[in-house]
Amino acid sequence: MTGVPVLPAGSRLLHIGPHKTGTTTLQAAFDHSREALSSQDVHYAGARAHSMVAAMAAARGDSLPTQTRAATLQWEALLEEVRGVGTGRVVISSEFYSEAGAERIRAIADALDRDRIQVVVTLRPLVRILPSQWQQYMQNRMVIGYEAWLHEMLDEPGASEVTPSFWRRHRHERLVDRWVEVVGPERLTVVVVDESDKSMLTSTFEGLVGVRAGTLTSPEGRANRSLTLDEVELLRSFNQLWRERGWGEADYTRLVRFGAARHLQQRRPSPEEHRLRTPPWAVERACAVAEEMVGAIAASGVRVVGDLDSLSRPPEPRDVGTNPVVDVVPPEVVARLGAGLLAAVTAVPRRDPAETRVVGPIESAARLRPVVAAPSPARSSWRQRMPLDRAGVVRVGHTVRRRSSRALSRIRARVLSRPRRARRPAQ
Amino acid sequence: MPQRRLILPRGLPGANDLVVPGAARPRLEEYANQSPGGPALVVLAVPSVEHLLVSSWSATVRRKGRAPFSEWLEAQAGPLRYEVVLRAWADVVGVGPRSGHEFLVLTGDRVERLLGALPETATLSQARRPAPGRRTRGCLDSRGVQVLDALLGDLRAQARVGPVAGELVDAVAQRLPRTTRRPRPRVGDALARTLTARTTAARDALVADGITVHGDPEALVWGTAAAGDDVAEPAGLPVAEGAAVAAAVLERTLLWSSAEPTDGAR
Repeated sequence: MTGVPVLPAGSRLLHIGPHKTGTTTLQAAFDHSREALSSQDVHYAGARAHSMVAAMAAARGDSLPTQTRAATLQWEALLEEVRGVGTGRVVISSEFYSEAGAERIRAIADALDRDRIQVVVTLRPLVRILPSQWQQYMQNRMVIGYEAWLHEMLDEPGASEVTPSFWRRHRHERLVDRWVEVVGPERLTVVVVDESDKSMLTSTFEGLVGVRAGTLTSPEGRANRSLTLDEVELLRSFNQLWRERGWGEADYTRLVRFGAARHLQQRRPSPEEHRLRTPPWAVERACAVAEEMVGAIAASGVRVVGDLDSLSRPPEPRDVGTNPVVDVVPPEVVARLGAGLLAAVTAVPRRDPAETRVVGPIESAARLRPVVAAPSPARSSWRQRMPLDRAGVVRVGHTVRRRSSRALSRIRARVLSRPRRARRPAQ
Repeated sequence: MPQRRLILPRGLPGANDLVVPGAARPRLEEYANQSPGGPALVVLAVPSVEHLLVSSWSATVRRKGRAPFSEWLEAQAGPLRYEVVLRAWADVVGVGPRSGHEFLVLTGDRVERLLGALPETATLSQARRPAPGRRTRGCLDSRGVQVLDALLGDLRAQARVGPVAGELVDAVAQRLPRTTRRPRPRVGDALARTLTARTTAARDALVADGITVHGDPEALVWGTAAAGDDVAEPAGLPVAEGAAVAAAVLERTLLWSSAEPTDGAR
């Protein structure tokens, strides 16, 4: 283990996750602290906290179910933004880069300049990633139960056709190897997340990009809480129903994955609700795999920040055990899922979607919802009377900047997607 | 002694009749005119106050898409007045002191049982049976109330209330579990005491006028199911039922367009 090295000036720090290693927290902190970073010559690339579509395009050549292939041009737009930064340090973060194969890794490294790229991998214990990742898949229409899924993943790791992305993301020593082969061990840093120190992740990245301690601050309510057993079982049943109805992927992505499921996560569960626990047999197998991974990473010659051995330690006893069968779920959990769906439906704008958007039938229907009367004069006058405080002004500023940046990205993507016209010969 | 007639009006009075007693009068007269003269036993099939409060609240929610139950309840000026209805009946059927007319006030599942027990060939001219296959839907059970309450609180916190949300909330409400059993008390001790006192006073006043009223004032508040029927509802919703409740939002959304409910993404 070493201390936190400051990456050279002009570095392009590519944080590749993988999934469920604190990426959401980190991305939210970078997005939230853009101004403070900028004043220290660090630029966080992308118009939003997580430039997911750009990363998916670069690493997998595909996109979200809600996006057409034209949206993959967002990667080009992101690159253009990075190249326009000059000599300052740039941070690019997405867990989807961890899914890239050798060829795409080479293309990404070339695009970001092999002489400037610095790859950072964040890692958590595999045994803790398992329940989080299963829940994440559950937020993408999966219906297989936890224990059955664990068997698929651990009985013969890598052999199952169920969630093949799991081992691509979480065979961590192979992930490190894939990138080391392209960028070399001297350009790859592994950060082992310290679960007992919530500020460890952000302070490590502050050190890497050479900014003052405390520069990275997190917005309220952006943490990616794990779902309780009750919540996830309700979602699983809902997914089953979704499949039976024949509803599609685009609608699910917009209304559930980025809508109701996130709303469910923002709920504060009562202490009585069941936690998802991993059975002892799975803990044992996961720890054995993790030991192999730790050994290989230690031998790879990459820079390691944090306690590598902690990756193969068993979890706390409260997270180990057999889960009870969930027959009933608390009414407030049902209400929360319903409210999340309702909010997602009513948040769909009436205007036509962008050309790069794929719109499912439910979202289309939501655009046709009955017209609602305009806000009452009382509400308008209330708004007029309320002066903005300093925080309000800053918020408005952020919003304007973010929206204009998004609009520019869209225009850029649209321009890049047009076929070039042959120049008309001179008359 | 002439045979006593049983007047068994169907679906009367409903919640609106109780809230606005005058509105019920034409219907009461219609029933009474079909059965003139003689002493009568009027079976008044009414919901309990508890049941009625929840039903009325659900109706308000559907119309306006706001107001969690606890908040709405506090806004109610006072308990619903059964004595008004009882007196209206007494007036319409011509019951006077010592006339021999009687009222039997039934609520909830007792009505169901009574209707089920009546033979098809009943000579009771005014007895109307429910249409075949028609079942009493009951009102939201305590779990349904909790879901709707939490849903509305959540939407209010998100500032997503209004007619569109109301329509979707209605879709959810239609899917929530209902009961025809005695709902569990939720209106609070103080209001329960007030309701009981008022209905007791109403019954006593009618009895003093020579009108017989069968039925327990307590039952008017909480329903008349036997104690043994008051089975505690489970603490939560069956998982699949909960999922269907949530999915009701999307099913209703789809009705806004003629889109096929499969992924025909463009």
